[in-house]
Amino acid sequence: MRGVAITGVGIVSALGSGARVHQEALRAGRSGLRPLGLFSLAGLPALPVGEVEGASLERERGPRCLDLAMLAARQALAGADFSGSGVMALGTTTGGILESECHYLTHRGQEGAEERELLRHHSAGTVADMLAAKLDLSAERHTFSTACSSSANAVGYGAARVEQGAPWALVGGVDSLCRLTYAGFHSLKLLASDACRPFGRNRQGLSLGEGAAFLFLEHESRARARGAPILGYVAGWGCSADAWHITAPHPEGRGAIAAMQAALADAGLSAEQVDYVNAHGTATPANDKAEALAINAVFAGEGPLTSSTKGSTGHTLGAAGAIEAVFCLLAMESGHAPESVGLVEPDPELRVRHVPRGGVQAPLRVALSNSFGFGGNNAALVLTRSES
Amino acid sequence: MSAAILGVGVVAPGATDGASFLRVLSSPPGAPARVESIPDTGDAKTRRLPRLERMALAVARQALPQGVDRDSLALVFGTGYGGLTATVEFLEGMATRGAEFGSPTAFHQSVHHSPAGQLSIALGLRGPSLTVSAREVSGETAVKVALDLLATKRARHALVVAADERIPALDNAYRAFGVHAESPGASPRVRLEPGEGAAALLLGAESGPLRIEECLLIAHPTAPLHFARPEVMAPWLRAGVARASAGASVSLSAPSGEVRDAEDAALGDAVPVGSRWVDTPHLGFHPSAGLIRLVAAVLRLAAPGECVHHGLALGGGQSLMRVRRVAG
Repeated sequence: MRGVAITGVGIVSALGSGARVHQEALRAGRSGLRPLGLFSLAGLPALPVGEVEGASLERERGPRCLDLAMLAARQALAGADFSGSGVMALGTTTGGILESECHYLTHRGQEGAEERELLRHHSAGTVADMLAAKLDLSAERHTFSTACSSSANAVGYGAARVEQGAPWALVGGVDSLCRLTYAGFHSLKLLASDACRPFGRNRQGLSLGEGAAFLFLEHESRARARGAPILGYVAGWGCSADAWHITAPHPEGRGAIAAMQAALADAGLSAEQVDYVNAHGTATPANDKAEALAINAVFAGEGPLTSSTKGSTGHTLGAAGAIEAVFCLLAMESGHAPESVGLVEPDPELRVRHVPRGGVQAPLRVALSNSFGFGGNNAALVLTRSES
Repeated sequence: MSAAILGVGVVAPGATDGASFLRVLSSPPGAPARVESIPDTGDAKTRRLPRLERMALAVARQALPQGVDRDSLALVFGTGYGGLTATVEFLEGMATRGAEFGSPTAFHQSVHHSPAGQLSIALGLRGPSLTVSAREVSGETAVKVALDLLATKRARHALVVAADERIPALDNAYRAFGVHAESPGASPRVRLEPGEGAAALLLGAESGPLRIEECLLIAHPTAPLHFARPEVMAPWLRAGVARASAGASVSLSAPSGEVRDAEDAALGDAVPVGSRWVDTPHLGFHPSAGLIRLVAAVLRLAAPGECVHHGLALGGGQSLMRVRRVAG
């Protein structure tokens, strides 16, 4: 991909709201994880999660996902030019299910009342519908729901459309914490009992999170013509399927390798040119092992600096790809690769070049962000600081 | 971007393949119910999959001929509600057994991408794999994304699959809003008859006599659970028909009598009444019905001709596709 410029970003997570707040938090190695407070579930402990503080959010008439998405989208759209027929591409896993599950569990068994919110909120495309209505956007609208790679695919697809000639694309992702995913990941025994430890020897599993991030994309020539600041470029997108197991990654990271290689080929870059990898790094035993093997296969020698930021935000599921794409941009802007918060003792079997505690100050020109999901779905994005 | 249509598959109420689907379409529409019979290959592993995934797998197998390179084949799955049975089952389990005893199987089956994952595993598909959701234009959106994957050379072939299931909870939701066909007092003009089913198309970048010539999507800012207003929807439909060749047929969205009237009014004299295909009463109203109507159009285009396919979704989505068969 050539010339797909990023001219606006917006982000909200457990670390706070706005790009600068996140940049400072990542530099400081701060974690936003704290015990779950958004809801309680009898029989399950309140484990550490990346929950967005309510004070950050303006209450919209809609699901919590809409509140998160509106906050991030408005930041990304500051100064944006919407002229022409653009594209909106959003990634989400659960959409408005926090509201539909709550209504269902409260009203089940009451005739005529129990499933009303199922129709209103359960379709994953609902958040994009509501967001577009709030923003009064008449755009081609896409919702990608490929589990934890959803918004990475939304970013990649929107970028491809800009390269094809769409005047602009608003791309990103959102997911809120909800009972279904909290109890669901518990049922799969994938939740850590304390804060997650990506790539750690004693990693137990993931910590859930919530948040949203959006990027405003337009062709470089359009951005320059209107004098918009260019924050970076989406240079490559690759996606693949493992065709292996419905919840577990391919043990040798076969699909992950294919996605990373496709993204690099799309960017016209070699693996040696990558300075930083923001790993999927969920801290589950299987993911981190398969991802480390895949990184070893793609990158020769010691490889690029690598970290997972899920110890800071929790695993924000469908929002993770967009949030971590913004983290890559922030890292390149500040020349600071963030550490893997929570990683104390690296697993010696996972031979990746970990960013050391405190992060690393280094010129970062090319970053690669991995996002993998249920169903063996793999997505990789290549972001660059400049087009050259 | 246009693409050749290389294969189709369909499962709908009363239909297990293209031939039986044409028979259903040629009969007077009854009240569409559930898909009674889902064809399979007889293996136990497939039969253990949930209905939604079995419908998706059945149509994918019909559309996918031997000889297509499955390592690079792109898969784009469209669904409005995903594994709704599994979602309700998981929530019921939480309510009755407790949150700590949630079903891990129901959880992963509730993920919208789960059917695409199962298709990848069952058919050995390792290319780009995407799931899109856009209410009642989910199938059309999947076609658009597939065409873009072909246009950007991310794949040479793309399998588009859409599937949605009808479950009691969703029927109850339509009743709660007073738009279910069986709701007492629901106006005949606004009521919807829910349905279910699945369809698949294999698209290729090569040339061929049967092609999707155009696929356009727009989403009008609209109140939740409402269709785009007629004055907003109509110009787009008319412009789409104007781009088609003389004598082209139109497949109407027609989710309700009121919307069908608006589509008819938008077309005016531009398309003869006999060239307007109204298939939704055979299929029911559901997010994958649009792709099933597209398969109906493909099956009807046995001789050279053209069809404009119109789609409308709750929330303001609108789609237009042109399918054409030329001699050769």
